[in-house]
Amino acid sequence: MDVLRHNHASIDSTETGLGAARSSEAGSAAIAQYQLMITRMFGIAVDILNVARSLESMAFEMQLLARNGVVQAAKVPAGEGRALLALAGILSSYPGTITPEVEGLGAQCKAIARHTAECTNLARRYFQHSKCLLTVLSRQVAHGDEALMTELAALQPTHPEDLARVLESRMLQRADPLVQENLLYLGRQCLETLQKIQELLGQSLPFLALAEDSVGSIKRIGETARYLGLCVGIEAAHLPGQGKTHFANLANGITTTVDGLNQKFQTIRDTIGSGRALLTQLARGEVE
Amino acid sequence: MKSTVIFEAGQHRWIVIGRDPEKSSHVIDTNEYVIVSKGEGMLLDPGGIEIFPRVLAELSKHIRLEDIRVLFASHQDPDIISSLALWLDLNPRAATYSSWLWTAFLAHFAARADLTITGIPDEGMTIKIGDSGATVEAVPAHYCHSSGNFSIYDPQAGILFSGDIGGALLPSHESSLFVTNFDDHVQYMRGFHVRWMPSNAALRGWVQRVRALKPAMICPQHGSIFKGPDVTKLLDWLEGLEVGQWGGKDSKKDNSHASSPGESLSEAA
Repeated sequence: MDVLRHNHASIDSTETGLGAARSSEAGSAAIAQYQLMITRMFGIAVDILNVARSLESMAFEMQLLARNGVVQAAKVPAGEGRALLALAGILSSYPGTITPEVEGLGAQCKAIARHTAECTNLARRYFQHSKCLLTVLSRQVAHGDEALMTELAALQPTHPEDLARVLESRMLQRADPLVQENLLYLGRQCLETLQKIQELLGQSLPFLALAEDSVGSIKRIGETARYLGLCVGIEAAHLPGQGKTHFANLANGITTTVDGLNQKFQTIRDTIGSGRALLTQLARGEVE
Repeated sequence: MKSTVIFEAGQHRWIVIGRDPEKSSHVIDTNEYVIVSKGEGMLLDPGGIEIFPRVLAELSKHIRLEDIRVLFASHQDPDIISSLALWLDLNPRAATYSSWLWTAFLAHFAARADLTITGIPDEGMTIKIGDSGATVEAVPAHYCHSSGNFSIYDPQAGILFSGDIGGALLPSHESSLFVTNFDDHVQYMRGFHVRWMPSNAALRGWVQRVRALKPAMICPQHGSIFKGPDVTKLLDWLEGLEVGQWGGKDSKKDNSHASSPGESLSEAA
């Protein structure tokens, strides 16, 4: 039997009220914003990683300077050059100690980037699934009932407890049994996804703290190198002619490099600070 | 978005979801079809990511989401199946079918390590809807648009889902769901076929195969549905159509400005 039933099951969304459309759109806009914030967090992790990589090249620069110092110190007559040789030797091995710290920082940033990338993917799906959930709730279930529309408009779709409350609310009881079952099915999946997103975001916070520790260690290494550079400058002050110039240049080079490092530390610290604020907000489901 | 039951017999139904007034104007309008057979569902060309929430919202009125058992992609285009990951998230049990030619490509839409897409061999195959649902046939439609392309024929309903074949770029979402005046409708189909379909021989072959099936309805993924005498009119029209043309092919025209698909399409139309 060929039954061409054109409109029995049709609900034209244009016939539904503006209020229904607005509350569903506002919910979707909040999720879209949340998704953007997660993407921004991913960007922050990548930014820290990039600056961390540049630290390694600066450390290498410092090492080259110090090795040159070793060569120069070897040319200085034995008695006068001994202290300089020792200082330059320590200095040349010192920047190498940055490497494991930078690697640690890199690993922490990669972990944050991995978590946020997974969250971005989950958030993209959450956006689509919850958009459907909100559309059905506002247009097919709550539509026409002011109290339910108000309840729906107050829903913060990035808060799992809000979502859980809707799934248990009387709103669903108004729906046709099939729609009700589907809403519960969809809602549970949305809730699971949102919880997973926030769990991953929460797990990223300790990595940020570890990243900050690594930055602190690298800064200490830099400051020690600066001190050694200063000692080289003092020891070289009484050398005659070219030797003095060579070592003064070495000391200046170390100071300039450490200054450069410090600028980068500040950038990383600022980025970590804003990352921490953003992650905390995201883990709580807060939207800007 | 509207959903309309276009066939119903006992526990066997066809539903079309489409005519979306909310979709962005830059997104091509599509028809998504669902066969619900003994409570189990098959989605035919489920559509793109952009329209997914609205398709799902409509679908939720007709079938338990858990009971969507088969996803079918007539070919590999984004308006056909870029929502794959979202459907599989909802129902990981659903089996996905497409031409063997595209299985590895479609996996890019899926974002799942455990994804298995069943590749339909070139000669076609039968597909069962879930454990207890009906069986439908994948009918070869290669080079009638895509190089790995299938239509779906449902013998129980007498409906052929034709994918892009018979598709039309209608002027607005308010256009009739069914073709009401075939001759008038041709203007919306012509350019679509002439430019997007590469092979006359392939098209003639498909027409022959479909004539043998004697479908009561032909349901394209874009535009309006053909039923009754319009089915034959469509097949006759397709049989005489010269496809695989673009502005540059016509030597009588100045080809230098037929550079974009839009221009070529309007010229062809």
